[in-house]
Amino acid sequence: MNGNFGTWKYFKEEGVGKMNGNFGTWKYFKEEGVGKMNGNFGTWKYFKVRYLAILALFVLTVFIFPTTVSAQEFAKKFNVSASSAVVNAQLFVALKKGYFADEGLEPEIEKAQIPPPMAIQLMTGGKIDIALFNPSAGSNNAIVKGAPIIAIAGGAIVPAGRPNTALLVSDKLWKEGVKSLADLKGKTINFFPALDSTSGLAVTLLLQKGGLRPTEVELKGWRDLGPLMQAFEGGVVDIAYAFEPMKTVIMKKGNVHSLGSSTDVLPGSVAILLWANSNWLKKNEETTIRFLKAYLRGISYYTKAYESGFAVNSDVLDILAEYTKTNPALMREIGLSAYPEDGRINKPSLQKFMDFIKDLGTTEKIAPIDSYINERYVLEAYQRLKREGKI
Amino acid sequence: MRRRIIEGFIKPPYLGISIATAIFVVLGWEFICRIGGLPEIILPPPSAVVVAFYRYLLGDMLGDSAATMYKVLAGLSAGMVSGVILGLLVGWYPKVKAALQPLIDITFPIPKIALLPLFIIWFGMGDVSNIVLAWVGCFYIALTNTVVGVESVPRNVVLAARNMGASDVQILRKVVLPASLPIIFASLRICFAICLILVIAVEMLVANKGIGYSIALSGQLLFTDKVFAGLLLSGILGIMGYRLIDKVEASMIPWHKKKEEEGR
Repeated sequence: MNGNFGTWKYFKEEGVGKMNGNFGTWKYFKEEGVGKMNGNFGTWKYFKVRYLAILALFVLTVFIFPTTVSAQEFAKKFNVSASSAVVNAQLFVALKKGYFADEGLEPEIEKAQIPPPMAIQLMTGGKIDIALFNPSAGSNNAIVKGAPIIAIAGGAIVPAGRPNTALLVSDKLWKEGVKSLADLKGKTINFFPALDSTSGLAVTLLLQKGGLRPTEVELKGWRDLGPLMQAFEGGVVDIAYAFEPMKTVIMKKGNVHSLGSSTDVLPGSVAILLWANSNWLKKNEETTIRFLKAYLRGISYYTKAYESGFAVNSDVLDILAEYTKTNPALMREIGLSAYPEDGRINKPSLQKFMDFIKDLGTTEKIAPIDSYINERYVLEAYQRLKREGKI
Repeated sequence: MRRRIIEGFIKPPYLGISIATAIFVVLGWEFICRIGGLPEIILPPPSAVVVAFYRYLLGDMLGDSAATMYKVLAGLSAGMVSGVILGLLVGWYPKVKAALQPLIDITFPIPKIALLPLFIIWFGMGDVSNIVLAWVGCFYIALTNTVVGVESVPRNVVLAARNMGASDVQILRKVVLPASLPIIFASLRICFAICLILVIAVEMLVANKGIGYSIALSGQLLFTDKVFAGLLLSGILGIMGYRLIDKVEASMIPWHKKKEEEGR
């Protein structure tokens, strides 16, 4: 063989057994044995040292290097589930303003309306790493059964003073005398999705405000909001608990009346939480912190707009209109959600909701809320942002 | 007696294979769940499903089954009767076919579940909208199959009846309808399955009772074992419905059943 490696033609024609020079011959290997090698390969001792060096390099590559590198590097791509709803404004603002890109992240956002139980199942199965959805009896049951989900930050909260929900009554019923919460006695109240949800709690508290017990009315949960709103508009049902933007759309058409809102009974309460797969989280702490930095910047930008009545950062409305495919003009009229600026979870309100779930008896065991809340990452993200002067 | 019941459900020559396959699948499923460490909220082991099924049986199962089957049978009856009658007319009278075929062709492919919001507005949110949806879902299949059945009746048989002085109504009643019955029964099986699917799907969205409601509620609460118990119940009701249709078919068109068995 000429040169260092020679050619394939050489290998084919001459055969490796005929190789000599730097490599020596196969015959030599076979007859003399590796222990007797000399020349370029050196002795058995040389071979052993070389072998050990390669082994050490392998060990370093496989076991040591990734550990050192992981402290600096992080996963850029991961899956996030957040439906294209106005309650997830902070995420879409962060996405559009490029805050995730600033952190070197490229999250794959699944914007389809995935019901929370399915999101939990997808998260448990490792298909989703981070998701925004409301706490529920389902999330509690999943945690009790060992699902690896953990709440890492707060999402939308019930805004104070700017209702984004309404307990609507048809004009027909209004004219029949149902003009206050107390008048709802014996009526059917329709809401989405079920009693063991934050809207179920809001309806129950509204009834209490009107001096009624839940047993004094018929509570009917609809597992799809669209048919419920269509039924209300079509006059099939006369009382419905509506969310934005449908609430404003229906109220603008007239002939409906609001008897109250979650704002009246649950201001500042948890509506949505940011969840993560705890197994994924353990392996991706840096990614999580960076994600939360972008998330908090989204909240900050949105909140400035929200508190100024969208006089500043008014592009938030266009961003929301784009992601929710809603008329931009309508965005100015609807009641939007608020968010905790530091991303922390309002634990007392969550506890109140879990107590409500417990009283309903739809779940066998209630997991302590501290067992599935971990705010370490959001606190770290907030501190980093402060140090960097980004909020 | 017990053997006769079993025979009614599974043909004896294949009983061993059927039982062995079922045992193999169930054991494999249990093994995957136990050894694979699959979380119960994703795939509960069959043992958990059996426990959930038993609890469901002691609880709301009978009430839920009755609520669901009542709607299935109402929708199925309405759909079959209207579909078969119109199918006979469309298949027999070319002018009726010319008038209705374009309408049928346009409306048949519409996803029936998409009509639910409209039906809720038109018929209210009670059982009626669910029954009407099952009816519509069943109607088209019964109609199109009956048309095929009518059109496949041998022409010489029809001519022979006419030569013997039979009127159109008599031919339809005494010749065409009986000759179309094997196809109509085949469509009945499909319609039963479709009605069951539609009724359960609607119950999952807007009902307060029924198997679909139970499945949806359990899913919402992430009681996946109870979801599977509901699915198992739907499967059992499906098998029972099929076997019932088999019995009715055997008693109404014994010549066809006999021919079918001879052909095996």
